[in-house]
Amino acid sequence: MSTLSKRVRFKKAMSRHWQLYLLVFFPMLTVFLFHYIPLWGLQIAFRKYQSNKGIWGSQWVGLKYFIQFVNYPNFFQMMWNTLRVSLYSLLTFPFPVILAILLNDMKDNFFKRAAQMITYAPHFISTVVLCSMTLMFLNRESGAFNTILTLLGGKAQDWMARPYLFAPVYVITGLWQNLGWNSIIYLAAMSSLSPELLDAAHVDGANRFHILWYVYIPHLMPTIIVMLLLRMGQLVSVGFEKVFLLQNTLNLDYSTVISTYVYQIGMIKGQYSYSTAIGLFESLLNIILIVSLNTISRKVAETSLW
Amino acid sequence: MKHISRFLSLMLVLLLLCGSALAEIPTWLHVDQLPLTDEPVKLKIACLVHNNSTDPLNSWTYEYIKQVMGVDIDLEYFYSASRNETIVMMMADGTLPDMIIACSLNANELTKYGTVEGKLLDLRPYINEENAPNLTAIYAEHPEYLNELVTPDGAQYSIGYINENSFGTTCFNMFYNYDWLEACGLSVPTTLDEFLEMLRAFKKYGEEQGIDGIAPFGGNSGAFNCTYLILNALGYDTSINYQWRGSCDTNICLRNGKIVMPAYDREVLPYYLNYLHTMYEEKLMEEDYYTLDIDTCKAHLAANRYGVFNIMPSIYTNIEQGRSWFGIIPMTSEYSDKAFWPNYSMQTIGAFVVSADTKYPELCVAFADHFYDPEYCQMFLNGYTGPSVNQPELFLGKTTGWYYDPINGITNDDYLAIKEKYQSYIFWRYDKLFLWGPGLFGVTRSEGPGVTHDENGNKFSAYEVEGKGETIMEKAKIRENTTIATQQQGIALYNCQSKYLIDEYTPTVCYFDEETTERIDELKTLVTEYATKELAKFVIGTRPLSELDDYFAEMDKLGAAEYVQYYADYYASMH
Amino acid sequence: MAKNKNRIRMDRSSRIYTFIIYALVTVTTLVVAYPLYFAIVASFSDPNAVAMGDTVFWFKGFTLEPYQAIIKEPILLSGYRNSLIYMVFGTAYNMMLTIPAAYVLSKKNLPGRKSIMWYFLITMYVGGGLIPTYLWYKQLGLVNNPLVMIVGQGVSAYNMIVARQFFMTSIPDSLYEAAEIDGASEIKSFFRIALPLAKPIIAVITLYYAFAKWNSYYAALVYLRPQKYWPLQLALRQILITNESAFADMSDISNTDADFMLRKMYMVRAMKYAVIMVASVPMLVFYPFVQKYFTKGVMIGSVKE
Repeated sequence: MSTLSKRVRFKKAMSRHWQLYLLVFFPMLTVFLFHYIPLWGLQIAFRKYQSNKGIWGSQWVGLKYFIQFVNYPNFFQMMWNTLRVSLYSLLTFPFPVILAILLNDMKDNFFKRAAQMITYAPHFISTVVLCSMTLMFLNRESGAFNTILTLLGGKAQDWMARPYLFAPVYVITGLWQNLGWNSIIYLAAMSSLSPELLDAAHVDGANRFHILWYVYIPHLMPTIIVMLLLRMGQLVSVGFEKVFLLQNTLNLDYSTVISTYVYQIGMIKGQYSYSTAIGLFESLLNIILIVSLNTISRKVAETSLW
Repeated sequence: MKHISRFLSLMLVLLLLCGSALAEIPTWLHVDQLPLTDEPVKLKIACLVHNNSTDPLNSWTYEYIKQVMGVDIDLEYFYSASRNETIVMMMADGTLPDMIIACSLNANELTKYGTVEGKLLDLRPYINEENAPNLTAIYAEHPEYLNELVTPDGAQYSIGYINENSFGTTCFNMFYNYDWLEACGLSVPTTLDEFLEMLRAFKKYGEEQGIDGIAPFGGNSGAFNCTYLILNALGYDTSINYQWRGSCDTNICLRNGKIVMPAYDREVLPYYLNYLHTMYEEKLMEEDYYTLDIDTCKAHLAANRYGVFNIMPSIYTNIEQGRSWFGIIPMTSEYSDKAFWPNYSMQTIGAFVVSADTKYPELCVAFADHFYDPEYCQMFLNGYTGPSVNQPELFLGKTTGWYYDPINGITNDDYLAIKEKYQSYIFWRYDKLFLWGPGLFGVTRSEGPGVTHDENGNKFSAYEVEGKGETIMEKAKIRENTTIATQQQGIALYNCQSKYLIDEYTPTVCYFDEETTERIDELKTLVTEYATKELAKFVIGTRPLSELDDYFAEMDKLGAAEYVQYYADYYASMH
Repeated sequence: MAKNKNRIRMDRSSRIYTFIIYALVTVTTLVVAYPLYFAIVASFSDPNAVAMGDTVFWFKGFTLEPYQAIIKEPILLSGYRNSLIYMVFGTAYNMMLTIPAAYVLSKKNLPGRKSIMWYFLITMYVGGGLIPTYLWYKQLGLVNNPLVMIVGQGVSAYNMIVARQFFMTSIPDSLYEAAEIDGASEIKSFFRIALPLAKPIIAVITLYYAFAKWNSYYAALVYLRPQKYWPLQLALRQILITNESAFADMSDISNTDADFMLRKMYMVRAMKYAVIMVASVPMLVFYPFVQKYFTKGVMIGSVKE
């Protein structure tokens, strides 16, 4: 009796919402067409791919490449370096939020618009130029950073020679580049705040600080959590180009990450199977991470990605 | 078609008899081999074109291939930016074109796609006197080219691009600031001890001149690494691609007939590290040698801080400043008593490959053969770029209109007519003439090394004009005749390094099977990374030289011996 | 009387508050602006002076060469045109898919919602890889077809989740319920209620997609061989590569040409900066138009209840 009504209920609900299903049908179709169909190629990670045999004809080797990766002598160091860079990056997470809050509280004048434009512009600086400028700024002899430091009485150093500074440099330059860009989503969220709520708060005698703390921040919280979750879901994937450009002989202990390793064994060496396996490994870790964190988030903050 | 061609050939002879310089048709025009085929054949060709070519289908070479060579081609072209992805995709696609040109497939790729996956055709059966006379002759004269192309299973999967033209650009080169040598009253160092003294003298000189941050041993570890000079003096012989600018510590080298790796050489490494450490301590090299970025390094070069460098300085400074620099002489030391400099293979393998499924294997090989010649040909693709030869019919009108211009050098009427449209003559050539970059396929040879022209259009070899005198410096005093960087570079090399070239060099082309390649790559990553890190620490002093035993123990653990052994075995099997 | 005192106190604390805000924003803006300024100066200066730290405040060895070199390249104009086309049509295509999906998935009572979410979420983590995607696209006829730049990346799961989140937090259910009572269908709800209120997020996601499209080059590198289809970033990348390796072409050329090639190689470092300026102009021009959609108070008057 109960199962029947469940199915009936389900069918009823589906027919009720048929328009919604229609709206989401085409997005799902395009995703299927352009993303899911090629997914069959993922099995390259489990096969010894040879172009003359094609993907289906290549020999099945199971977990060979995963095991090979985990057994690589520098595996743990690579993982640590990758995680270290990611976790440091997470520390910069609050800054775009803070900037958005500050900007939001300003009157919409020229100064505000100019500030937004300027903070948003670094996002267009390419990674190559960013790293070039960074290395120049940190140059022991002619870098602007050291010049200012000596003016303030400090001693000029070769900062890039210090391995443990690799992650901070990576992260701070990332913050510079993305601060304004990342604050946009929070500005948008705040702008959608119901005006009635603000009026009510004013009537209740709240000053600006109260409004910020009791109105804006709760409104922003779900967005912040979702952005944080999405960020955590990329934790194990640190991009290749920037690390590679900031790497030098003396900081290799800290700057060898998974993506630079994949680049070394990459396309010219023709080890697609191995590099696909490593990519899959990264994704798996990311999925595990995001599932666990999302569960916590659902329990604690009632916000979930699904 | 055949009759027309024969008629043309006759016309050719007649014209040439009326021509100014030559009494017979140069053999390298290969007129008797044309057309390549009598039936209408359509070949699919994929080729890498130069970045500055716009729609190669309009290029003269394409027209020449179709009309004069008689080969109809279905062309697919791509650029160097996407070279790797394109090769991967073509192989994965299942339908390879008949020929792939100018992609410079490396040994790994040739083994993978040729030996293992069988997608490339074995060309050996088709390179014979009848089908490919030129290549046969070339390989007979230079068996070393053939050796490089043949894989362990006895097959030849590619034909290589041969560049015997500018010796200066193929040989690894290094330079001293000769103005400084003169000012310090020194002659070019011939031993490591003299080298150190020279650096010290440079430093003193620089300080006296008030040059800020003088660092005589120039460059930085990653991009402009001059330590090869020292390795060479210690007896290491390695073939280095002239584009390679990094450290050679972890290269596979020959020393006293044995295959070794300098970073793993128990005998010599302590001395080498000590030497570098001394240089570092005395501030004879950049304090930030291991972290300096490329751009700052170039700027330091321009600021005149260096006395030794490994690329023609005028690239990064103004040209006048570059004129003070000339070539090094290989040195000797207590570990090596014979001065030598590594030779380099004039061939780049993998320039031309044929699909195993092609229906026209003989034709494909004959096609390639047409672009090679046992003697020489100067930029065949746009006809002889000299004022003295005219074969307008054969070369679709392109051999006319060439003349010598004091400003532009050898130039052409067609170019001058639309000169404003092009930033330089080179771009016009790419746009109008070349199907692929010059010499990316075929052979590039001139009438001799360092050929240039004087104001009357007469050819002469810049190397022939030597200064009087005994010392290298006096001989190198041909500065008055040097007008461009490549000439100067070539002269420096010719006068200095070329006299020490040896025939023996570590093979750069090694064909290993797939499993071995994987294993080697793994070991290489581990060993190279560790060695690079630690050697830097030893030189700077963060790690004391007393710990070298620990370093070697760790290298043993990582498998350095196994890594070197693979190459040692390969080398032994080749001799 | 007490009320006046309160107001005075509020004014003072309000003024302090304002001062702090302005101070922080000013400092942040200046710190962020300096490297931008440096990049602009570097694009007009002699590369060696830049690397030696002489251009910290002002130009040194002022030169227009990098810009001249870039502007003279024929593939630049076509690159601009192509990128504009890809960006406009591609973004429109993306938005037409993403926003409805985000709306639908924001409805908490939809059966199967979780599964559909996962359906999209997985695409963020796994992909087929270069070879299978290429083979499939070839079957679809997308290789060497400029359509691939517009149609290739349909829905970004990341953007969709962000948009979904906005729908969930900023549009109260009461609005939908009220509309339902009034007899509006779900699609009508979408167009009449959700979309107008979603202006800020539409602006943001449009920006995200537009930026991604404008900057993309890898898809073109793999799928678009002919240069006439190339987007701007690929064209610029090519220009830089060509100039960096000019030395390789230097055998057997005249002196003037050799000097010219050397000069190009020399200028590449400055060109790297100039390239950014050239490439960024449209996005910077585009931003103010989008910006007004997420300024404070944009929603005043748009909510009917």
